[in-house]
Amino acid sequence: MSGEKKEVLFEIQNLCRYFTLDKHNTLKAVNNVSLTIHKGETVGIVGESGCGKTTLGRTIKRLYTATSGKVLYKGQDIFAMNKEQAHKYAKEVQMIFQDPYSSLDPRMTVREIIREGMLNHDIHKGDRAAQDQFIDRLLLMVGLNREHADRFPHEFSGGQRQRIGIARALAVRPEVIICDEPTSALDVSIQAQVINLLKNLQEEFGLTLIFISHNLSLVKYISDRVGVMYLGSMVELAPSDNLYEMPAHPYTQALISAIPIPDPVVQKSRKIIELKGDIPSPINTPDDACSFASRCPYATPACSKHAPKLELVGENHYATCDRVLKGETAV
Amino acid sequence: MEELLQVKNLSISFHTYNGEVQAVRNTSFDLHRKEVLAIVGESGSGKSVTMQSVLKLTPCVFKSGQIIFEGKDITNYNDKQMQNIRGSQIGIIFQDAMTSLNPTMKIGKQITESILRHQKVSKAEAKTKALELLTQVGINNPEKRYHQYIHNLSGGMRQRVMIAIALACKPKLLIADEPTTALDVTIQAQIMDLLAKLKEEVGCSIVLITHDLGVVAANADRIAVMYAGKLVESGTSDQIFYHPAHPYTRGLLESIPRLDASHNTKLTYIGGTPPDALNPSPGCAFSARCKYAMRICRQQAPEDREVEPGHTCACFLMDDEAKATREKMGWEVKL
Repeated sequence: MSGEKKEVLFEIQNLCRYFTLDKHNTLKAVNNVSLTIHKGETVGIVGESGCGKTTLGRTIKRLYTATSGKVLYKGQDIFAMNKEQAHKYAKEVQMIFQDPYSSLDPRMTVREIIREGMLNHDIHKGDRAAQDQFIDRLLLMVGLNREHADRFPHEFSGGQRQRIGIARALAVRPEVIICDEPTSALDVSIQAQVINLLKNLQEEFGLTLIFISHNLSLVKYISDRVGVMYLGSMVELAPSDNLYEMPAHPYTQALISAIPIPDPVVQKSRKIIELKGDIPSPINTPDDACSFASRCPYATPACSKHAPKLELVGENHYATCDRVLKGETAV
Repeated sequence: MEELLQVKNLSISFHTYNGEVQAVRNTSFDLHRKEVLAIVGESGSGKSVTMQSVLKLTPCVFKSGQIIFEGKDITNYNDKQMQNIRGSQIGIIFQDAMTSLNPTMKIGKQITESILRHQKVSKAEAKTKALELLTQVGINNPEKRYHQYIHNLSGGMRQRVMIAIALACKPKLLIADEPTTALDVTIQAQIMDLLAKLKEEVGCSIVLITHDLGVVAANADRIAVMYAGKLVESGTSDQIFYHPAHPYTRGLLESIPRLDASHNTKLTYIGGTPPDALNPSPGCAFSARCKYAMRICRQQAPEDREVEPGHTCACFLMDDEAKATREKMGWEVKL
């Protein structure tokens, strides 16, 4: 997907989502994130637990409102939409959730689950036979049978339930699917099935995918571009292969070095950059410091005095680190 | 090398309302001294139950088998005898430190508890030991942490406390049941590093139970692969990673997205779903998902065959009669 002039689908500008805990405490889940997403591409969002990747996904889906900043979808601010526009947006942007057990209503059959969205968005309006036919086709597409349509979610395994979730998302003919850790509850052999399915469906329907995961190897495999988040900020954004070959931000470097490779010889010869300590609390994080300064092996006093911005460090490659900008690290 | 633990023909079942679940079926393996054995498998493959039954921690039905620890048959030990082994000779680390530790008990007390139970020491001596342990597992400011509760700690720190408890009495065997699954990768690296360091210091063997082959790669000496309650393949780390023999092991290795592979590589996968433990097939458990399944695979369970010294595999394809088939597929299997 390297078309020169790609249609911009999402323009996320300085998006912030804060959660007020009490009078003095604010949790900054997403802090000043800017991102452009083109039609037909897959953007991966990676980071450790609590980095704000899920909140970012949910804010884009409009499940949360933004504290400040904008999300432009086809040029239109999603938080300034009227009811009708919002309804259309809800149809075009679908979501697949992490937990296939709790994201399907246990009292509805698979057919009802998939039909619900179709009724809501007038797909094959008033023609139940056509709807049923479409449901059968969707089930086949995600690797299930039409006999499965009249069963309940508890009769399925985790991988099959995730397929039902995918069929439900596809039922309203979306343009974008936000996948929030779609395979983290699944075994590796099943994970590979679901990922291949998503990739094939993307090609077939020209979908745009926003793929949120903590598994960097998986994100590398599925994404065209990857954004790395740390403590609410996006610290690096680059084309997939670039990011893994030449990580610019010290956090990305440490994160990538910590991911084990299933090959004893390769793994034993790798140097792991060990980060000291834990991720700091996202409550009341200072606005005028680099979010990674407390754990960064290269931190200087200047790092805790101003917040670096995401800036171009290579071809299509952005990072928020002063060191990289000054050319002090090999990019 | 002398064996520390021998498990012979272990079969374990659970009785449920739906019938008998055969969690572990006829599994045998040995663990040498100062060795790290990884038991790898997907959820429900019986890897945790196998080790929990060694410690008699599950209310399961012990159908057959023999467990020999340090030359003694502990299969029929009663609760009291087991209590003397648990914690002192065999330590265990669980996956979820938040639910495995006691939230109403101070950290210090949880560590000294096992020291006081197994060693003849005074309370003051136990405290000194506990503080040493906390330092050893990399917890800063142990004096302060000693008097705190686990909700004051982060996930990685809790896992460190659990390691401190498990190693409090210098056990000969440490069972680590998915020790890093609940942790982030950067913390996972810290914990695996710590385990490797402590293994040398204490001189214990480790059984590492995990589903993550990446974690296994750098840390295990030998690997046992389980599928549907059966041990399908075992061998040294190099044998399993570079000469996998069982179709399941091959499929598993190929289905992991690798960080060092290009972004455009195709991910292969194992079709189908894991088998139902309630009605296992009479044949090989993997036959329903196996690309190479033959008629015999569905009728008869394969026995362990030695592929090369120290490398066993339970698959009919390893049989002499299947040599032509193997060659056709281009499998390099030393026999």
